[in-house]
Amino acid sequence: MTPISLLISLVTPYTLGYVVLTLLFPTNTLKQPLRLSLAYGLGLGLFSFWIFLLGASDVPLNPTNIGLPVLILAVPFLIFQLKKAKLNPIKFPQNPHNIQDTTIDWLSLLSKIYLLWIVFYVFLFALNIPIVHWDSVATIAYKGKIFYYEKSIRSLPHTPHTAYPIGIPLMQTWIALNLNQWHEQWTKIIFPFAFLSFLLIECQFLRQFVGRRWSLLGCVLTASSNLFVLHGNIEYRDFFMLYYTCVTVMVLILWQQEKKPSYLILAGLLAGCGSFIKVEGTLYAPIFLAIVIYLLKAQPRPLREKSRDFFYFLTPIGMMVAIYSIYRFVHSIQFEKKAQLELSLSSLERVPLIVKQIFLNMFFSANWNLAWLIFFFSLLAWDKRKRAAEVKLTLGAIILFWVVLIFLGTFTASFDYIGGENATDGLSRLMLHFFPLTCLAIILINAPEKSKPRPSPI
Amino acid sequence: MKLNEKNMTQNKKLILKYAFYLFLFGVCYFLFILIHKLYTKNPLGHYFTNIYYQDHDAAFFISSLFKTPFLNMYIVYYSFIFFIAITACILLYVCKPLHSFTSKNEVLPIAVICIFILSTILQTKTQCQDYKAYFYEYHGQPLAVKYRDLFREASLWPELFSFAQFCRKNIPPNSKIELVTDLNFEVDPGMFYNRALRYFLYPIDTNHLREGAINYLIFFGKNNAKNFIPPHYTITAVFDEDNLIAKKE
Repeated sequence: MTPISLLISLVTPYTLGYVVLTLLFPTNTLKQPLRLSLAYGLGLGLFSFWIFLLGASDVPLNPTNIGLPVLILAVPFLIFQLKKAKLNPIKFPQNPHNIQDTTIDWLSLLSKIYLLWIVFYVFLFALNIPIVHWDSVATIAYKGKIFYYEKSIRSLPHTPHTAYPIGIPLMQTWIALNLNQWHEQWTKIIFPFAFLSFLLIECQFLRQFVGRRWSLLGCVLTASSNLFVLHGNIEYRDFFMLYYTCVTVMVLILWQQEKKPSYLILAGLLAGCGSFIKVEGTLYAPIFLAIVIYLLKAQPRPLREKSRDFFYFLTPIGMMVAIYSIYRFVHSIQFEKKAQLELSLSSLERVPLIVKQIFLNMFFSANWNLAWLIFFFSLLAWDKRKRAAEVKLTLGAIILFWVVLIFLGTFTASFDYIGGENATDGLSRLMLHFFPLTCLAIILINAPEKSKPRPSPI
Repeated sequence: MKLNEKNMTQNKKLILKYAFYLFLFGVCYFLFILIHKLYTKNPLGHYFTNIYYQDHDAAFFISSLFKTPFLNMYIVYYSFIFFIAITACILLYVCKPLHSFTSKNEVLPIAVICIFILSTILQTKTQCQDYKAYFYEYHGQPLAVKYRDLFREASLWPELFSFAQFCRKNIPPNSKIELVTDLNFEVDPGMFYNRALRYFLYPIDTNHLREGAINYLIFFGKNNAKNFIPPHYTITAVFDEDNLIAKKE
């Protein structure tokens, strides 16, 4: 029964994600492989928010109450889509001139083998080592276990770290509800799938701008980071935070290219899902807003259209943040001291300490392989005419993340985890949230322009 | 025909370039080991395994090879890059024919890529060792065995999970309990024990999430626990002399 229950618990949110993406992109604007990879994270994020809405309305949490409404809405839609697809078959990207390339690209082959190994390794560890890590037993899985046994989120105000968003605990609760038991290993299944989904998204995203070989190299760069791999198989919230943060930036870059409002709604939804994973998710929202405003400002369009586009982005994230904030307010859930602002000039003395810790972490920790070094070398060799808009956006996002990180360390009691004694763990995890953007930047800077398709021999 | 010849010349140049950097890399690698060996007494194997990782939290439960008390591998890497770049520049300056297949501008990027490949290979090697260690030993094992191993590796009390299971067997679910201990729950490892027990024991409530009176005491890490049983409580199950369960009469 376990494999079927697991399958149901993964397919239901996936279906939700796929349906939302199909509603947003009814035509083939969003390429099919990217759509299939995105459906997992989007679906799981929205699904956990749906469970929260049910829990907040005091509806008992069980597979029927949670899953049935989603399936009732999604299945007829999917059947309709399938019928439509039979009439107009979905086209996967293929060689436009049908030229059979018989030469073996050794670099691509090696990259694929390496990526397959890493994905296998992450799955193996995630599903073989039970829940054991500090934050997980202290808060994340503990909350999930409470929600599973109580079949409600009523106990949330009495749990430790109450103000932390509950996206991941609810995802784990959903898996446990389907399994009909709290399983110390299977409840971790969402993590390796998120790892796989992220690598596929990254590869598909890069494919829009660079050749196959370079897009695979981008994934190799990301997957060669130890911390990235570690968080793909442990039950912390940081991998999902990374997922939503980086994918939001990627979708904003795609929007800048395609100018379709659906991308903005999608980015807003993803950023909203991020705000339901960690407190930092809400803090990153101004970064995304700044990027959207910057891009809108650069577009020669009427102000009315720009305002409409801005609200397309703001509405999903605003609603998700607002709903959870209202819930917190109603249940008198306060942020902890370490998350509260301490604005004073004397705090500025912390800045050099934070910068020093960041420097050590980038270049002397075992977390990132040589990615940061390659990133800085790439910046030196950057030809500013090549893919200028995409590279500038990625770099802008990375700089804004640094600013938020330094601000957090300087003006909150989180300093201890960012520039103080406990900086090794806390800082690394914060840097992980936007680390893949550096790999994207490396590839976008260094990859040659995508070659134009060879003319047909006929 | 001419196109083919041009391609062949290009391929030849490419192979020569890679051979040149491979040679440089090899020379620098062994020079570095030789120099470093003069100052340390570490066995040669350390240069391929133990010094790879900095002692860092990212290592937790991934590999025991992360512990590197004597050298950060990244210093080794940067030294390599420096050596390769400097040596290549000198060789290019001295030996003019080398210019036909490589240039000074390519020195640094290729040196970095060489080290990146080395680093990734070493990392994969450690991952393979982990795979061997964890998968073969853990596959199909009961949870208690896995937890025992993981806790032992983290220098924690290996029987923590087994004790929690013992408590869950002997205390009805939805009971309210109080922990009695000699451990300091404010600092690690006591803090972790407290959180882990709370998690493993649930739905037995140690966090006072539910209303109602306490009906069980769990003596955990309490020296000679039997001597501290309060009145109106009786011992119902004993794990060992420091860890037992008492029920309210």
